[in-house]
Amino acid sequence: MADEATENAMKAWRAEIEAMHTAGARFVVLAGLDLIGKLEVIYLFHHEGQLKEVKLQVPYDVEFPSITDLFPSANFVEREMVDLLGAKVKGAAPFLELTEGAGIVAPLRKNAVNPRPSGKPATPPTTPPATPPAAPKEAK
Amino acid sequence: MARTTVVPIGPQHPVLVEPIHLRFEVEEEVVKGVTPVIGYNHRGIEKLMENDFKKNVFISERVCGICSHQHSTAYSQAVERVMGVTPPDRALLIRTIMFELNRIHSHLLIIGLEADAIGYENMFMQCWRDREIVMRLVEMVSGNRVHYSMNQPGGVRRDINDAQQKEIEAGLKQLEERFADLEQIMRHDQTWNSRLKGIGLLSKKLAMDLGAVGPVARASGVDYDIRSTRAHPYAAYHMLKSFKPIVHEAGDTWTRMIVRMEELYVSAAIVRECISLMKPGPITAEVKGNPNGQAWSRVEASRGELVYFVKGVGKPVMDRVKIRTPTFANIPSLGPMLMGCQVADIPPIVTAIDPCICCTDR
Repeated sequence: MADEATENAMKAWRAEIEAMHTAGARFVVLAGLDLIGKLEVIYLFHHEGQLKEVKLQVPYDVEFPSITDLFPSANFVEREMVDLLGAKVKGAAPFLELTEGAGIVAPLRKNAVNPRPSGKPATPPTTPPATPPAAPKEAK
Repeated sequence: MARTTVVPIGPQHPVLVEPIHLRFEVEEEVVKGVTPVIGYNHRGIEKLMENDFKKNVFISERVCGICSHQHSTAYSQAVERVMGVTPPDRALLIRTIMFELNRIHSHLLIIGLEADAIGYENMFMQCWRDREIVMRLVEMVSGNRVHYSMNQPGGVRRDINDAQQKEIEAGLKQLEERFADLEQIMRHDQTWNSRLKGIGLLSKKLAMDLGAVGPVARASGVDYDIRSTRAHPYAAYHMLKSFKPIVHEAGDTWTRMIVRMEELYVSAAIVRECISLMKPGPITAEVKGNPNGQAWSRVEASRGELVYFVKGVGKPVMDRVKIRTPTFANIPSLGPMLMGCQVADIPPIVTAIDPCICCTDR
C-alpha cells in the first residue's frame, strides 16, 4: 500500500503527465531505474523542440497507473519495465517472455540474482586430468 | 459467414529476416487482427552495460549489425554530455560521415529486402551489389565492414585523411549513378508499383499517437527528424547548411520506400558537405575522471529516432544505460498497417518498417 507521501507524489506526477498531453507533447521514452527499495521512472517528452522530463519515485511494491490512456505509444516500454525491473504498472502485462522457468526475475534490479553465475556449469567436469600422476619412485 | 483462422508467422519463418512472432487473425485471406510478440532474441544488453563506460562503446555497437555506428555515436555523446566533454569539430565531422555512410548501406539493404519480399530477385541483387560500394568505403576508413569501432567518448579513434576523402567522393559519385537507376525502377516499374502502392496505410494521426519514428513517420507526413531538431544538435548536423528532412504524405508502403530512396541522395550530399568542412585538427578530446550524472542522447538512426539514457555515479562502471531503438517504437504501428490487408501483402508491409529485431531485443 502506498503511504500518503507516495500518494501525493503520484497525484502530482499524474497532473504533470496530463499537462504534457494537453500541451500536445510527444512521448519519447521512459527509463526505469532501481534506487534500492524503490524505483524511479523518468518519462521523456518532446515538445516544441525541447525535451522535458517527468519523474516518479515509488517503492517496489506500490502499483502506479499506466499512461497509455493518454500516450498509447508508451505501451511496449511500460510492459518492458514490468519485465526487466519488476515494476507494478496497472494494466501493463509482461510480454517479453523473459522470465519463464529459471531465468532471472527483474534482472535490472541491483539485487537481481543470477541462477547461473559466471556461466560455470552446475556440476564439476568428470573427465580425468590430461596427465596421469607420476608413479612413486621405488626406494633403492 | 466467414470463419476466422489464426495464422502464426514466426519467430522462424521464410518471410521474416529476424525472430518476431506475429499472430494473424485471418478471414478469407483478409487480415482482421494482429498481435506482435517480441523477446525471442533478448540478450540483456542494458544489464551488460552496467560495465566500464569506455568498454560500453563496443558493447553498444554490438546491439545491431546494421546501425552499429549509430548506436556507438548515441552512447558516446551521452557519456560526453555527462562528463562535459566537447569533441573537436573534425571528430564530429568524421562521426557524421560514417553515420551517413552507415545510413546509405542500411537503406540499400532494406530496399533490396523489400524487393526480395515481393519476389523481385533481380532488384534485390542490384541493391546488394550497389551496397558493396559503400561497404568498401567504410572498410577503407575503419578496417571493418560491420562494427567500425570509430567512436570513443571524446571523439573518434581513426582519422579520414585526404586520400580517403577523395576515395569517398569518387565512391559517392559512383553510388549516385546507381541511385538514379534505382529511382527509375522505384518510381516507374510496374511490378514494384502494383505490389506496394496503396497497401499498409498509416495516417498521420495514428503515426503520431503510436509514436512512429523515422521513414515510417516521415512517409505519413510527420516532420520528425532529429537531424533537423535545432534545439538538440548532435554530431556535426548543426554545421550543415544543405540538410532538409524528406517528408511525404501518402503513408503507404510505396511512400516509405520512396522516403528511403530520397534519403540516399540526402546522405550523399551530407557526406560531401562534411568533407568540404573538414579542417586539420585533433580528432579526440581528453576525457578525465568518471561519469557522474545522467543524460539523454538522441540520434536519427537509419530506422528512426534512437534514444540512449545513461547514468553514472562517479565510478568507472555505469549505473544504468537505457536504449530505445527505432523498431521498438515502430512495431505498434504494424497493427493498423496490416489491418484489412491481403495475406500476400504481409511480407512487403512488415519489411517496409525496416524491422530490426536484433535492436528491439537488445
